[in-house]
Amino acid sequence: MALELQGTVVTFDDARTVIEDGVVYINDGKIAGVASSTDPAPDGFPKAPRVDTGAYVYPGLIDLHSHLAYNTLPLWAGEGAPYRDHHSWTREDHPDYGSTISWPSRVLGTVEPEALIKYVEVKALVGGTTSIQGAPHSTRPVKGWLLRIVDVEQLGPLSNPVLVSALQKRVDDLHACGETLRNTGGVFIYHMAEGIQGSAVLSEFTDVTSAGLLQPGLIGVHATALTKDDFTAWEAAAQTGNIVWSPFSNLWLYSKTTDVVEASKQGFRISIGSDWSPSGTKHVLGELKVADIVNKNQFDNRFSDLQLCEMVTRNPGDALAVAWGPLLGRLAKDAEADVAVVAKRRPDPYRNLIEARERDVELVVIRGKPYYGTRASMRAAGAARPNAITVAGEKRSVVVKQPGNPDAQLTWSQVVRRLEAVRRDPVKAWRNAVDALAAWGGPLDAPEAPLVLYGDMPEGDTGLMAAAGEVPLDLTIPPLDSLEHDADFFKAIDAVDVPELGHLRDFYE
Amino acid sequence: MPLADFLARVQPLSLASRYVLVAQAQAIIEGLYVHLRLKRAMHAVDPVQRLRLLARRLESMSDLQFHAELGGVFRSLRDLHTTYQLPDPYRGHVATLGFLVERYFDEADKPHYVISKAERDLAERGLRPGSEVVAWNAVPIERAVELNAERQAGSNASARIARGLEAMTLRPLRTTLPPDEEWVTVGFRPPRGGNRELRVHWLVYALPGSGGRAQDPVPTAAVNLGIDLGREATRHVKRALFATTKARVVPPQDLHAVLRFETVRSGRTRYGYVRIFSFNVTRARYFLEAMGRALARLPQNGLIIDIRGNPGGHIPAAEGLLQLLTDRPVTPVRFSMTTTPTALSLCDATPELAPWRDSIAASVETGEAYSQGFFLSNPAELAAELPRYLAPKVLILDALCYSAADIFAAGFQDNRIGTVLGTDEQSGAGGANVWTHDLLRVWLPQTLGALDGGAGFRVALRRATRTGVHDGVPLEDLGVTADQVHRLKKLDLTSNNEDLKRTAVEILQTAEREAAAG
Repeated sequence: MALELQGTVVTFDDARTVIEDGVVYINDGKIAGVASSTDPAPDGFPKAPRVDTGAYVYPGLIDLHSHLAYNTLPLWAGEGAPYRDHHSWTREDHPDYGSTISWPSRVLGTVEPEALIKYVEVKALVGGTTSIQGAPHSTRPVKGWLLRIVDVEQLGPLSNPVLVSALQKRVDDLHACGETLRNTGGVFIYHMAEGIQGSAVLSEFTDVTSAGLLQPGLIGVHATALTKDDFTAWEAAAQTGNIVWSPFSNLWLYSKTTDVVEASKQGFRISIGSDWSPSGTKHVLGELKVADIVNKNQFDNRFSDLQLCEMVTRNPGDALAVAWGPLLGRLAKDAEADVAVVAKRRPDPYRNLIEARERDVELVVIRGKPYYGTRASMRAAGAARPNAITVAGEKRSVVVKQPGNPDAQLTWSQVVRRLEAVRRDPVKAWRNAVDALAAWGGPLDAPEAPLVLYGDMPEGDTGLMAAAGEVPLDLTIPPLDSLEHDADFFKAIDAVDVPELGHLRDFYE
Repeated sequence: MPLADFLARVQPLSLASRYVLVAQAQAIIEGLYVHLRLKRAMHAVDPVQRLRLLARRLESMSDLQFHAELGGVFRSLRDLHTTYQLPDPYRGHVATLGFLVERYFDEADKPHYVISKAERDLAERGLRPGSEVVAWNAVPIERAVELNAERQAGSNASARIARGLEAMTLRPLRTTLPPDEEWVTVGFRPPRGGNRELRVHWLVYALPGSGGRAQDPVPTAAVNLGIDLGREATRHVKRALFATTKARVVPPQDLHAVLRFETVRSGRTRYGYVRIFSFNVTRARYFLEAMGRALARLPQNGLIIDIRGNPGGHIPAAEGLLQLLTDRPVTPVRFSMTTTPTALSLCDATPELAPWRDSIAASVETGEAYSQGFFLSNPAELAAELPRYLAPKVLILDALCYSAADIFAAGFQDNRIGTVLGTDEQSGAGGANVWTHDLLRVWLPQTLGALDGGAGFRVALRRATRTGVHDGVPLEDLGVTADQVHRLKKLDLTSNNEDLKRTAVEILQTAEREAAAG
């Protein structure tokens, strides 16, 4: 499929070129060229529909830290916050973690895995996301992702280019990961040192260091407990260190965030991740605003608007380039054709992206195909059988169903209906699903095998009922987290004492 | 379908696929198999070295030789949980001669082998129930059973004999090799006397599939199972071949396939009798609710629980049932893991196994071979608000009882719920929670790769140790020793276990008298 997207093209290429009236030429999932609209199309480019967006054309946004299995859940105000570290809120003395996060996620991932996946993918699409990290474990590979899922994406020549762990590993396992990176390449996205400075989780960084993992392929998630000395040591070993910053989640859980200023001074490449919805923003476009708030209020504008925007485009693209080559996060010839088209509200393209809301996202293209956008742009881009969806009061179109992919057989309205049906009677739904699973005695990787998703976070205390395959009879599943930063979201923020996060409302009013 | 026709469908595995299978077998046995130390000591076996040798020698083997050798490594463990599962088309298929043989003992304690069920065409040819088998391919039947028992993985002599006998006429092809012979010449004495011989051909029967794909009768993705897959498969085939039409095909959540309730009379007194054919149920609470309702309807003078031949199944369901039988809190068995680096990696990756993690990690310093033990169920919670059956109870078991059934029997004995009456001295002695290679791959993708052709493995991941007076004693290989043994009589085989039930009632009456005497 070929496509031409015309608009103000914000390339994030090496020269950070912005073409006021440019065209992105897409063919076969790749960018065939980027040029001024007055220049001819690349040699051999086939006849293709041109979408005159009248908007900014950015690389698709990359969310380098999420936990997809949990992203139907609303913000979680756990007892005892702010915490010292990530152990503090999953321990047995916080039973509400199990009942309000682990159980609902487990039930939805068992009963309606396809609907769960599609819901959280659409939530990311609404924020212009084209690549996201945080795939759940599953009984078989999911067939029919909409987004580019970093954990399982096969780009480049490596057979297993991306290793991921949200749970902490022991030194010998870390050493094995280090050996893999050293010998075969690839990246390792690893949650570490999530807690305040001085907390015990700093030992996780010590383990990474001991294991010889301070290499260019290491992408550290959170690293909030790290100090200047730690960043210095990391940078010295890895040349360019990579960290993923999730300021909303950090502030929500710990009232403090990663010292990205110090990391930046040391030469780190900083990417942004929205983390998960129980303690994060709806998508990485929302998280970009939190980064902007923290940049202004805590970091004295250390980062320019361009630098902030690079944290959701070029920087994660470069971090992943160790595994795949420089294929994402930029609009350049031969890069992957992942594009986000965003309405022009500001003269500066970077400030425009930072301040963009859900209603401003007009078209999202992944692998050269339109998945989400306004009705007009989706039609113009030749979207195949899109479904209607309303986002922030605006009518939009989304492609959810993909003929031929067994895990993409639902329409958008079916996705929502299925999830709501589980919410109405989770115990009955769970029991039916467990019965169906118990009836399957075939191979788990068969296409017709039932799919089950498992969260990638600690379970906390789910009790022996979980081990017995039973669900608590009083289980309730919270309302589906909305697709946009809405009144309920801000109400939840108002209910906790994290003033910094309250500024997020300014972007949406 | 005739055995020869079935075997003609088999596609040999490639050499590369064989190497992968052997490597994966080694990874599982060395890294995750919880009974490895026990088996090395108890049976003087070295499965890891055998696998190394197999890897060197497999090029020269035929397809069937390879399956035999790999299966032989697993059989040497004498562990029905830990098995090599042959590739397609073996999954979901059982070879059968179309009749069943059972054993009883006469007054001189001499064993006799009697046809208990036979398909109609065999019966029409003279091989009808009640016939006594005397020879098998011209080998005296007792010796033939002994030879077959040696090829079985049962973990004690009673279990091997019981399985050897069953395998004379039924072979689950997923876990055992197909028969070498296409037919068997059965020498037998019909009920009315005389001596006859009949040639009986092996036939292959398919278990119900799903979506056009052959299925094991046990879930692939379950985390709380303790079951002998092969015996569960033969149980399904027996049901399909010999049960009434109405009972043949039932959905997995239909408990009619696993439960039967009766009343047993002794004089004017009526006792309850429940036969639990399998604990392979989909959910614990569902099973317990059904049991609770049924137990409340049975006579409340005493209860006979008969689990003979029960291959196990859902461990929490079995343990939850214990709580329906007493008003005292039940202490279930504890489960522990091996302390290898692979086991630790599995616990690191699997939230469900998080409780086992710390003691495995500490074993580097403590030198412990097993992790701390934890419960898999909370029987009181599972049985909450369900009625209790408090009159005297007797549990009947045999050497074919396995795993969750062993665990149930151990809990019955250790929590002093009643008397254990065996038709063999011991239960089948399977004491573990078993996971499939398929499921382990979800959590250990770097260690465990895909297997070609639908082949697979099951492995005992968490071993069960007993509580109460047997605190800390493993169930594996030791099983549950019956408090009292009743060898089956001819009357039992021909009259619905009449003599066995009489013995059970006597035990209940004794218990009742003792209770009345305080």
